[in-house]
Amino acid sequence: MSAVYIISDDILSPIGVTTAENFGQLKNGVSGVKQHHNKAIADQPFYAALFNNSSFIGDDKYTVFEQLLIASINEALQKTSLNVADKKTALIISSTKGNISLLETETASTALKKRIAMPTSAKLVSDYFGFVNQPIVVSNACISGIMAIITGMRLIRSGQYENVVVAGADLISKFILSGFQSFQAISPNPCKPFDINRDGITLGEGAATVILSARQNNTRDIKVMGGAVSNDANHISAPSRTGEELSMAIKKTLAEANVESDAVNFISAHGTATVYNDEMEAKAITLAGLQNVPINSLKGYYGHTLGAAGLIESIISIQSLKENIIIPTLGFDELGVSTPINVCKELHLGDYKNCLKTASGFGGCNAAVLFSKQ
Amino acid sequence: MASEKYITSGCTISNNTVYKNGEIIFESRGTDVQSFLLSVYKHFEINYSRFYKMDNLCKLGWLASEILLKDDFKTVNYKPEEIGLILSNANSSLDTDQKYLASVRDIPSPSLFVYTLPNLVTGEICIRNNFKGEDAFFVFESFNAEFIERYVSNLLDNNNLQACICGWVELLESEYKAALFLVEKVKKENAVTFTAANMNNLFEDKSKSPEVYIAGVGVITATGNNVAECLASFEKEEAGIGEITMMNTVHRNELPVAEVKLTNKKLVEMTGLPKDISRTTLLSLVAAREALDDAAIPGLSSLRTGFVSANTVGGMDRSEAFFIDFIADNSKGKLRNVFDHECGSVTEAVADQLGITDYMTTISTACSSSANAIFYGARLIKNNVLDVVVAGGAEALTKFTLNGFNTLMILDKEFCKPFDENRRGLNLGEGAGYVVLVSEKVAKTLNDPLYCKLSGYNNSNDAYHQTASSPDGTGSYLAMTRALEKSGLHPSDIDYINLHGTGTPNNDSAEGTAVKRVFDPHYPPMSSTKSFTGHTLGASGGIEAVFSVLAIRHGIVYPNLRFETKMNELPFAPETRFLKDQKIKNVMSNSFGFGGNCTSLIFSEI
Repeated sequence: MSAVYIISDDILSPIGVTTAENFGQLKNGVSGVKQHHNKAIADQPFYAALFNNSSFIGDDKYTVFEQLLIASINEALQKTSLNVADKKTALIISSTKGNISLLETETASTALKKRIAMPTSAKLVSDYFGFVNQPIVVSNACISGIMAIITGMRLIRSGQYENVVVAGADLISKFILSGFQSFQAISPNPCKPFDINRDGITLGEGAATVILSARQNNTRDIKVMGGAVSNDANHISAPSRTGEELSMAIKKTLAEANVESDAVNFISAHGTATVYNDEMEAKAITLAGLQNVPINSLKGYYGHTLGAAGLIESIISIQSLKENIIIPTLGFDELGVSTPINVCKELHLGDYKNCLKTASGFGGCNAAVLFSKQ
Repeated sequence: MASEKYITSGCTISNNTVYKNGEIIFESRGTDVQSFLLSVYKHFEINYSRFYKMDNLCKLGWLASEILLKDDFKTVNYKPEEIGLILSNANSSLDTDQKYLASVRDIPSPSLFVYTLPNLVTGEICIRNNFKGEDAFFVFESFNAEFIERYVSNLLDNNNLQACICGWVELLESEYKAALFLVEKVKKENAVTFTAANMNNLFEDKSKSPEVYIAGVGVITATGNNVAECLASFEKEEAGIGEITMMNTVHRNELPVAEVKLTNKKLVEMTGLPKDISRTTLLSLVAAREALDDAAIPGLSSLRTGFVSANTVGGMDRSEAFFIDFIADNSKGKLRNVFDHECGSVTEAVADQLGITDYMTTISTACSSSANAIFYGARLIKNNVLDVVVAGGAEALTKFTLNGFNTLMILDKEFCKPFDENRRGLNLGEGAGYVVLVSEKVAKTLNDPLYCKLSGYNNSNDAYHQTASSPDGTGSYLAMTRALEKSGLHPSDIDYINLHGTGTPNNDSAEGTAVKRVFDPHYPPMSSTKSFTGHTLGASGGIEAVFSVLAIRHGIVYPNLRFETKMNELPFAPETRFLKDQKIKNVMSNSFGFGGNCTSLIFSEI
């Protein structure tokens, strides 16, 4: 199968406006998670990683959600000479809730529903840059970001496109926070992935972009080697009890990438810090024979950024491969899952070639993708 | 790597109807989404308690998958991880998002929140069938068959999957549509090749709104007591306008009107109705009966039939008779004269005579009343509430309307001159006009050819003034353009416009401006048949719909009588000749009323 290169990327998060800035913050242990007293979002104080500003390109024709996407894509494009108006270039947008906050603040109308519909945002963003192909929107719960990378990889491998810009974003509003709270899924403190005392997720905001290409741009470009998606077929909101289905997606990914399990140098897990998710992931990692591989979760820095999470965490993984540094799991102290896995507590230095990124989400979906250094 | 792939099963659910492989397998009467989905669940005798927990989007997609897979799909032919789902829609989970947000004001509902993600549909289908392969949810403005075809083909060619359910599951409030396709590598009976075109065929056929046909017409006006007489008057260019002969009013010999040339006595003889009944009811029955006889629908009594009739002042003529005695002495006056005063009474009396009991209703929206009745009737058929609707309206001349319009100073003391630079106002008229609307199913059972179909309609408000039209003709412009949009036609497709054309300076100026905005620079022939019939108010939309339908049937354009001078402000003039042997495929009929109520109907050749 033809190679797919990541020729550019960007993370726009509360702790940095470029990939380099973000990675620098993570190396220094800086987290975006803070306590917020924002009555518009919740009556009680809550922990989350939120943006301080609400304008990113200074054009209120675009919603905050769209501005985030535009700002991030713009940053990623600046590092390449990509022609977005080429008919061989596509745009994929990943989000779980897009412009949903408008439903909280605006009066209900047909026009508002049209404005909230994700194809509307995708079209605005697409037109901003002048993409010529109809944008593709992926909305697949918390695996959206990885799903979007896999979709982009496939569109290039099938020969339909030569370049795919994959961008994702989500914002936290009352809608999302109240929903996770109603599930008793929000931790009263910053989240503690895989820890014995973990008690729920911390939410976060962010946007990220990767640009995939059939052609290598730079010898340092990381390759997307393979990816797979599976479904638990078990429960709409609770993860699999066995982890078998996520392990299936991991095995399929490794097979497609033609990489043996012992060649995987580290894993960037979903690690939401809910009791059940982390337990399921640990089981799946073990079932896939990866229990000794260093593993981290970045939710302690970014919170759970939903539709952007898969992208942000993939980009950090890519940067980790480039810089040979594994970022520790902030919030993790003592292992609290039933199968022993190798959770990174400290910053690791080494020679890393292959990284596995995984995610799981509501609806029982799981995804895995493998990134490799050339 | 590429192997043959087939759509081995297809299921579409829309418009209260379930289709499997292009055939209707279940239809329900008009109902809300929730009840419809439950009726599907019950009809197919599915027993799955999770169904009751799902949100409407999941119910819809899940039901479609159940019907898609029932009969000949064997799960055992595949491993769980070999079967996947690639679904899409336009509005994600917005239907449930709105419901969840409503709950947040009280107590946020976790059972609603969980469904605020569109891929829960794929999750529910996976849980039910133990499908563990790849599932993805994409959001597109409309069904993107090309993308789905490529994406699913790729998954099957690369052996990521061996079978895949793909398609569209959309639900937002009362609008919904599911179209699912089962794609496999093995050819089965009735399978079609997996292509975007084949998906679109299965998708489109069932997504297009059902057609509504015109199977019969009936009319009575000052120019004739039936369709044939009215047509003859057009050809002879004989207007029905003249001196007042029947109404006892001080305006006799002063204001011309267009009276139906039959006395109440004569109409009572013709219809068999009681002698004290309103003239509006009499006129209504004459035209409605002619229309229903003309349609000659076999087995009418077994069909769901409705009567949607319009008028503006009900039995006002009888109330006026009552008041002559009552005002002189308020212990006097025959109460049976006010019995039919309200508008609905006319509809009820006529429905009784026609034997229509399934559905009847009255629309009263001033001069657009009966045009609205016609498209409301069409919607009752499109939504599978009724099979046949007699729709239109009736209006008798009354002192109430004559005096009322006179005080508004919009009556012409001469014969009216619609769209003429020197027009002065309108002449009131009376009459009734009805069309018989039938569903596609009923259309197939008819022995006589159909007249045409109602291809477009729209009602928009001018939002300007109670009794005057806006200078730009905003409401008329919106009604015309949106009716065109509904019909899928361009302005250049319209072969004749039956104008509202009352002859008042204000209406013709506003309507003309709107026509210019829509049609410039290519104007089809147009005319106001009010130059023959006068303005029959609540009946005019029905009467002019009948004339529009007849224009298509006979290839004719009606003259605009007494037109002399083109309006300065407009670049076009109405047609003044009776044109025969024309190719008339699409006719637009305009009806605009007080309150800014503007309606355009479009009739199209089949």
